[in-house]
Amino acid sequence: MFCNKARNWINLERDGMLPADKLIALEKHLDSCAECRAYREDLATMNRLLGAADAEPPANFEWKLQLRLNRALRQAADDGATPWVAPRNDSLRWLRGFGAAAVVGLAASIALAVFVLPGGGVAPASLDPAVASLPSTSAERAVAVAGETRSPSVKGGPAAGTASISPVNRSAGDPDRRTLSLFTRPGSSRGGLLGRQVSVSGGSAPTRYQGMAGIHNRADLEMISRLSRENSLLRAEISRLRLIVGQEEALNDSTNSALLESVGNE
Amino acid sequence: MGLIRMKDEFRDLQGAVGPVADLRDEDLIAQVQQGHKKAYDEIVRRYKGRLYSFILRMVADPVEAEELAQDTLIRAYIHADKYREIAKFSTWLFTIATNLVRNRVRRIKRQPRMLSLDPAPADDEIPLDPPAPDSDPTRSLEGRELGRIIAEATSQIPEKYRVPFLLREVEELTYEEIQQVTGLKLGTVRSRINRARTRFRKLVKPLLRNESILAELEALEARMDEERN
Repeated sequence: MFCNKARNWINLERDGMLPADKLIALEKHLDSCAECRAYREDLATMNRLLGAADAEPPANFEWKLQLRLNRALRQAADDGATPWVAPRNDSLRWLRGFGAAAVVGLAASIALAVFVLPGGGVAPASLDPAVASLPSTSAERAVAVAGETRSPSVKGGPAAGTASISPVNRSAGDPDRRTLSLFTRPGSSRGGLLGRQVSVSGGSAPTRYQGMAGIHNRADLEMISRLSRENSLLRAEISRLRLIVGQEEALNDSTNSALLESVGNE
Repeated sequence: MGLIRMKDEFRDLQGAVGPVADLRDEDLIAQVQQGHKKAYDEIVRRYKGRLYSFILRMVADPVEAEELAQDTLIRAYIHADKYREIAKFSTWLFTIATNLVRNRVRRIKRQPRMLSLDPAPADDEIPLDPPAPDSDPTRSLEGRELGRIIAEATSQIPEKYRVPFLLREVEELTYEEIQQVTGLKLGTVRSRINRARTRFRKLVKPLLRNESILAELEALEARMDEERN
């Protein structure tokens, strides 16, 4: 056996990878080769030297680890509670911003989908330009207003089973006010056209709804109202979580200051 | 540990875990996944020394090594839910450590090198060139700590050989585990370990036949055994 091959086998033997039959052949070679024997002994001694050179971490390693872990957890909580706020030192900030914009856009699309007639009755271009130009958050607020401000009023409308449309009355200088009422046949899936004034009839007193047009029926209004309530609840929860994080931060900062002071005095 | 109050969701459930010292690493991390902080404390106790030692041999800077070891343990905590018992916990942990070290080394390489205006070497630097055959090896090693010599020798092994070498020699990971940690093929792992051994042997050859060094090594090993028991 050549020494190169023997040394390879010695390495495998050290790592427990040498088959038994090759081990016998290796031992036979080592019986007659002092250099390879020295190599095997050197590998063993090297391993002992490496083991003896183990370094111990500093005494305050765990204490510092705890501080850094707390900080990392606070950062993770902050990022989760306020996704629309760009996280610090984050190279993927743009992706989070894109994600947040996508969520807001989706919410606005869902709200707008309520106002689009099934079967494509109203093309997006027919949207009231003042409404279409609102930013997404304003659009959400407009939807919330539609659900929250419901003022029943009797309006002299057409007889049940008929639909009638009249132009929207807008107050000058107040572009956000859209007062409209709906005319719709009972059970009909078609709602009013955007920007138009219709009143609900169908055997009951018509109800005036303030806000964006194109609402089909009471179910849609209830959904808008529910979404608005959920939105408010989510905002309240986020505020609560931020308060907790703030309190934790204050507690940890004061504790950390005390600890740092005590370490500094040692 | 535990001096600073944790958030509710990370607070340890006292008494719900039981004694942790006898648990396997994989069982400990499973408890960490459920929010048991005592299990995490035990993981830190078991691995802080090994991680620090391993990383110190890679970066040769105690401050950096401490920071990277802590980063490894923090990541293990935050991403505990990502661990699956497909591989050993130690393999997973050392994978995190190796990746962090690699990233740090890459970042250091990209930074402009600071040139020293003083061309003379520092007084305490003793080159590890192989001594002349007839010279007394102990003369050049006078006044030097054994650990520091070994660390210097280790730092002269190229990084790509050093990682598998240390994982095998010090951490006693198998070839397959080293393969998982480093992402290298099995044959590459084997050849890099062999090359590192050859290189390291050349660097520390003066020590390998030195009677006083070997005696010191034996005394050190006896002391370490006593401390462990």
